[in-house]
Amino acid sequence: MKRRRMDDIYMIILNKHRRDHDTGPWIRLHEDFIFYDILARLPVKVLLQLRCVCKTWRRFLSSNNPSFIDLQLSRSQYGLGGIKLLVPARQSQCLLLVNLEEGMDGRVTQLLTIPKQKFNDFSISENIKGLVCFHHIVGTRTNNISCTYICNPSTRELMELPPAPDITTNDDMTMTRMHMSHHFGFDPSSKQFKVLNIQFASFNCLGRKYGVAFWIFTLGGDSWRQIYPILPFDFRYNEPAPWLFLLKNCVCLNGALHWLFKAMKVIVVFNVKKEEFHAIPLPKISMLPDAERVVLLQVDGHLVVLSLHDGVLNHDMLDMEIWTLEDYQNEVWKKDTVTIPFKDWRKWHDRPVFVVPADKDLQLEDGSQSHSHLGHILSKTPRNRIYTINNSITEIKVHQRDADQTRRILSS
Amino acid sequence: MATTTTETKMLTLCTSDKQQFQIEETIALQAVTIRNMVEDECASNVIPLPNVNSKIMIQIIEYLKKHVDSSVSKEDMEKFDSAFVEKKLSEIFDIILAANYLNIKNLLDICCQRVADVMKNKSPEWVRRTFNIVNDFTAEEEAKIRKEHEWAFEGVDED
Repeated sequence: MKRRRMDDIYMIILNKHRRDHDTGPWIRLHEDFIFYDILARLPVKVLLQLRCVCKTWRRFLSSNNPSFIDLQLSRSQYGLGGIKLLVPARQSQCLLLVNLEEGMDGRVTQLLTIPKQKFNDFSISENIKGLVCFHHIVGTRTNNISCTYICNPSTRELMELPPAPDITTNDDMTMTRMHMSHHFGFDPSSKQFKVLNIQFASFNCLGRKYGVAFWIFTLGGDSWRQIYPILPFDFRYNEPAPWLFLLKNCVCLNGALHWLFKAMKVIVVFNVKKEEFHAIPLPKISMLPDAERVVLLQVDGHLVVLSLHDGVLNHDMLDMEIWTLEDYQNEVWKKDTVTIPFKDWRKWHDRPVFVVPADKDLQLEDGSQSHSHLGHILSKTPRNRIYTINNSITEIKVHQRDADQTRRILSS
Repeated sequence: MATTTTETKMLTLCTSDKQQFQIEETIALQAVTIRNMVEDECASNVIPLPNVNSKIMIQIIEYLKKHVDSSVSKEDMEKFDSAFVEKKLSEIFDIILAANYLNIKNLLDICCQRVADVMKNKSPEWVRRTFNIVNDFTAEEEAKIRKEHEWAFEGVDED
């Protein structure tokens, strides 16, 4: 017997309804319209409700329908259900969703409670096609377990990955792990998500030596796999490789992970599909200031390097260079400059924080160091402003955010 | 509107109920289906549109007339669009079908968005009624699905 195709099932439904309700809108509006043109515009929360409409809808709205999920992600005006930031709240061991949309006044929803001990060394990836990866370490410095999760904030689903292998058990020599980082990437050609785990350790053997190891976890798989990529810089075993420590704030774009490596004036690139490293030279950023004030991020599908320095014309202001990698293949950069009219920005905190950019505009925030600390900062300061620089770079908007609600949840 | 003194070219559209509509060609050509017919010169004087009735055609012409006018500001156009879709859902469904047939992308877009906006705050029961869908789950099965994402059914984010 031939298996019944989906179309046939639709036809059966269609015919059934034709008998029952001859003029019903279901007949007049083909299900393709309903599914692809209408449902794809709804936020995930509503789609989860609509799974109980009937069996056909349940199948269609399941998590095994990548074409619909892609469409919904690309078309949804709500983005991640309006979610702009995920913030770990240490005391209450939960992950918060912080909504930074205009007019929402820092609305906060408690997303999930992590079924583990207190957060340590928490790091969180950017949102890649609706998923984020986060990681923390449980235990003491010498005896600890690294926990890695993949989270879908829209459906509030959480998956724990098996623990990554430990570099210190990888060798006969006594090693001390100095650094571990996780990076979340997506390869559009194979539609695969991968987590890259980088570990760095020192060992004592005729003087201090260093070792590095890389592991890959492919989503859908069940274990970590060690890889041995060629590094884009010399890695000598008798000196630490500082750039490996600096591999934070990773940007995933065009099937590759990108990190800013300021000292070498390059962007380090890891190709998610080939699992290889290479480097892209940075543009001629005038006056490379203290490294803290150069940031790599992604805006509207482009890599962007922001560089902040004292205003050239007015010392009470800051100048920001916005370098956009307009042509990724040929490495063509475009430069814009804006003046930031807040002289207190720099005094107040060491550096501004570059928040996950909204769809088109770039949001900057003062008052915190990184996502992982935002929970603290929100609870500390009522003065949490967000600056939006719009795409045409003609104006900077300032949003005052009320952190009361955030405080309440964080202190609970 | 800045029209030249030369005569404005007119097209005649004939709907499914045999009503004829004479409209300026520039207005009608916004519909890709009509443009293709004219460009392929397979259209004689009268263009038959067997999938659109006159009631819907009147509304579509109203939409096209507004959208051909380049002097209308973006804001005014958005105002017009949001007022235009303030119709009963059954009417919106008819316009969706016609807009799809005539290939008027923006009209299809705003109508589908309108349906989505209405659906956003509606229960699964309402959706079944509106689309005449029979609930083929048993009570237990439905309860189980609701349980999987209980929070999605809470009214917490209704704002």
